[in-house]
Amino acid sequence: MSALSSASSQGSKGIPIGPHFSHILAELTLCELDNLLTSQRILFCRFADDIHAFANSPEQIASFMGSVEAHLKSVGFETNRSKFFIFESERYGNHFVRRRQTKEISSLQTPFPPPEYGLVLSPEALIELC
Amino acid sequence: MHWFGKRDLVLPDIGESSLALALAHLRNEGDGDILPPPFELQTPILEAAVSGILKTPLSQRQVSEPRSFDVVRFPLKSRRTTQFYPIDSLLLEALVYRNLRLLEAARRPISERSVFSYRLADSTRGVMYQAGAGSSLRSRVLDWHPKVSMPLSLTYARFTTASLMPISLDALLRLDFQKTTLPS
Repeated sequence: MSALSSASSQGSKGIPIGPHFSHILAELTLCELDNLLTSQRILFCRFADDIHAFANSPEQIASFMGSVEAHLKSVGFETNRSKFFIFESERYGNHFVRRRQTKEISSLQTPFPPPEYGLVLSPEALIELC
Repeated sequence: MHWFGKRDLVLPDIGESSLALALAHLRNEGDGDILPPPFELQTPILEAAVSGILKTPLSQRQVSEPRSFDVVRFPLKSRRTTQFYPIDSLLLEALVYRNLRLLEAARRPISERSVFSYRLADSTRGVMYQAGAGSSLRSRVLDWHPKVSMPLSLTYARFTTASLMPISLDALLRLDFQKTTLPS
């Protein structure tokens, strides 16, 4: 654990980026969030740290965001508000089709993937799309 | 520093078969998805390390300081990327392989089509993840026609290490002792 912590202590917080083991730890940690969303009958999809939730009104989305943030805070996560985005359905469809993370997962396992492969959503990219 | 701090836990044996699976995976797909794999992965050094790992209780293992690199991203961004020493990678991946079915059983079932990332493959051919998860996510989302949608992106860089790691390791260890009925 010391090694894992020190790996990310210089410059940023969090689990180390890169090793396969980090992916598994992140998945394991997000299991509880998946269970929470499922128990609240929220339609969602998740790929690593990228979560897509769906509702029929902005009010439902706001309620969802509140419960998600409360849960994440209770287990020690910080959320990045600059990476929350709400789309109307039509614009979301256009956005999603262009996302790079829709590639086959096998393409993400190459030693040198494209620099912006999309496990982390770039705010700049979203602004451009909007 | 010991792997699991000061906690007095009796950790299960990792097992030779788990180490063999981890070794096959490291040689086939490398130790991560950003940096090139270290050359040691292709040498007999790791085979020699297996016997040492099997003889040493997990709770007494020493951890090497991992290497870290700043990988430049366009434009003017960088990410701190980590690479464990090969023996540590072997050990950590063996832990994953040992618990592979329990790890998958603890997650939302694939049949629900809600969690698509890093689904573990029960494979002996050096492949850790199931293929096709990205395209499945895409088809799932495009099937829906919601009025409002919200991509919510968390970033690894914002995770709080001090809280995340104990939670994760606790969860991993709980799986070891859980009397879970595995799906057939």
